[in-house]
Amino acid sequence: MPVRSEQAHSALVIDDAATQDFRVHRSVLVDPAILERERRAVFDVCWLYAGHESEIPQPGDFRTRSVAGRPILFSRDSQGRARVFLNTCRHRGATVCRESQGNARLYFCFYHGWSYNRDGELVGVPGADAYPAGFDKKAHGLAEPPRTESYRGFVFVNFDASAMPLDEYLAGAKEYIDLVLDQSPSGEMEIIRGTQDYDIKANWKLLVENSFDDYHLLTTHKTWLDYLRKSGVEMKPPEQGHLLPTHGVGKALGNGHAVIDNVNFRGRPVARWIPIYGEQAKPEIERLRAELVARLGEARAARVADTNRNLVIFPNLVINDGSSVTVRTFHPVSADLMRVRAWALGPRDETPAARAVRLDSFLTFYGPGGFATPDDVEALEAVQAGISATWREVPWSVMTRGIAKPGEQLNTDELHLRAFWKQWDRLMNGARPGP
Amino acid sequence: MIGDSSSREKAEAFLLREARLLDEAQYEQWLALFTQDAWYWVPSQAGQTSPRDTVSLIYDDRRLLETRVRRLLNPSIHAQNPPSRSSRIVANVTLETDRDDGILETRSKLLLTEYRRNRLRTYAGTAWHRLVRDGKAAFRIASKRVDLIDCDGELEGLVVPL
Repeated sequence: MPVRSEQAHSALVIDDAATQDFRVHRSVLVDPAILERERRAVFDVCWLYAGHESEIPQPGDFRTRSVAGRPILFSRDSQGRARVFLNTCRHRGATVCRESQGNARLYFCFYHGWSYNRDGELVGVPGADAYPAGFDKKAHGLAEPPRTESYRGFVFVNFDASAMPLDEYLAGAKEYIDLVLDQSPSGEMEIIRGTQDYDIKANWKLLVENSFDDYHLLTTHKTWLDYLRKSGVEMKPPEQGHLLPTHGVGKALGNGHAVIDNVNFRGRPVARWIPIYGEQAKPEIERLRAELVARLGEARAARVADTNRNLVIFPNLVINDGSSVTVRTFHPVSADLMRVRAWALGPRDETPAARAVRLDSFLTFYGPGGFATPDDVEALEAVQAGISATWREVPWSVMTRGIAKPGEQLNTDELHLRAFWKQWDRLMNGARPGP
Repeated sequence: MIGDSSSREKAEAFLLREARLLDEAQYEQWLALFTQDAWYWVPSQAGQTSPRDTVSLIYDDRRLLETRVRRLLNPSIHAQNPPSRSSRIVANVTLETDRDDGILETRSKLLLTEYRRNRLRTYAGTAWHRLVRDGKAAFRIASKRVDLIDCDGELEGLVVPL
């Protein structure tokens, strides 16, 4: 049953270039009716991240997870192709595969014993002779989302059969995915085993903002910056007009995707050593640097190693390529609760020494036990607590940082946040992704 | 052997002392229990065998453990404003090994209840301590691994040490 919105708003996002105004109505972070509309207008028409090819290297390898509320089976079929199936039996609907990961020859539904092969075909029906002559097993294979496509190992699904191709959808985000992959000598990155799963009692869109918001770094992550400083990481006083030690910009990449693209000061396990990594890691980092230069040339090597980027692929995939690489996706459970899953990404065939630096960098920043994520979670939950009962009295959040600047905008401005919200607003008003 | 208390009982008394320091948020004293080459590990996967090929929840060497404690004492740790109150039950302590070179390994059950911002949270799991004898009566922690029963479930912050 559709939930009735408590209040009909004439506009949820105000974007007025003439008055240099940009505001987001706080009801969009609170109202269950808006979440129901989002499920149809955003999640059911956009390309959504399902998984990475490296998670399922062998035929029969599988992962089960939830994408846009649907239980999916992300698996490699008998032909070696990455596939996505809806994890529901065609007979009565039970989830067919109930393990989180593994390798299967058959997916066997324990309820009545129907079974499916790695290609999703229905191959076993106990007592099949009781079905009428017209019953066609071929028509009862595991269902797939209308579209499954991938870009350089990242597999996406779309619940809109007429969606534009993934390659077009990704638009300018591809350049940044390519930059991430260029750090690997083989050109391939892999998901490192294990995940970090956590809940945040906040609206999912707040994590979109937070994932590439450099304005919050100095205050929210003061303890993490103190750790860098104490470990000998050089942080120059910011230049005029800057808040952070190095220059960085925010850019819109089309279709609501956006990025912050920064000169690095926080260290990069790919070829930019900082004292935190320890003297013993220096030769390995220097070797990685030399490999980058030999393969890509000085300029591209510097681009890969000496800049870092936080990329949001609309609506809910984040690839943060900084002091480590995290791939993070999150889905709303309710208007004020999201479920987050994060992975670490690293070059395939990385040496144990480089992998150790990468994992340490990942864990010290990210996750429930990290030195940064818990403070982000606290911030988002503080926002949710602040707005949930006050949004009628204080209805708007201001988002105009940098809006009056001609040309380039900084990572601490809000152009990239506005890019997300503009696309969100377009889709909520009935538009489809695309030009 | 000192007096009539067994190694197991002494180790248990030490683990209770550790839990008490954490309950009382005496983080510097807690840190002082660890050796200079200690590590503190909370795996993210059931049965995880290595912190080096799999993402963990926490894997601190001594330097990161010091950082963790410094962060806990830093007034800018927003995730601890207001601070948690916590209550640890340490039980079912068994001595897994008791070597001649003064190293003991214990297995114990941890039930941690944390209260913060009007919410109670429970963490349950198995702790593995490697203890080295330090003088006649005391121990130091050479390593501590905590396997949470929901290590791969939907977690909230693990800010307060387990």
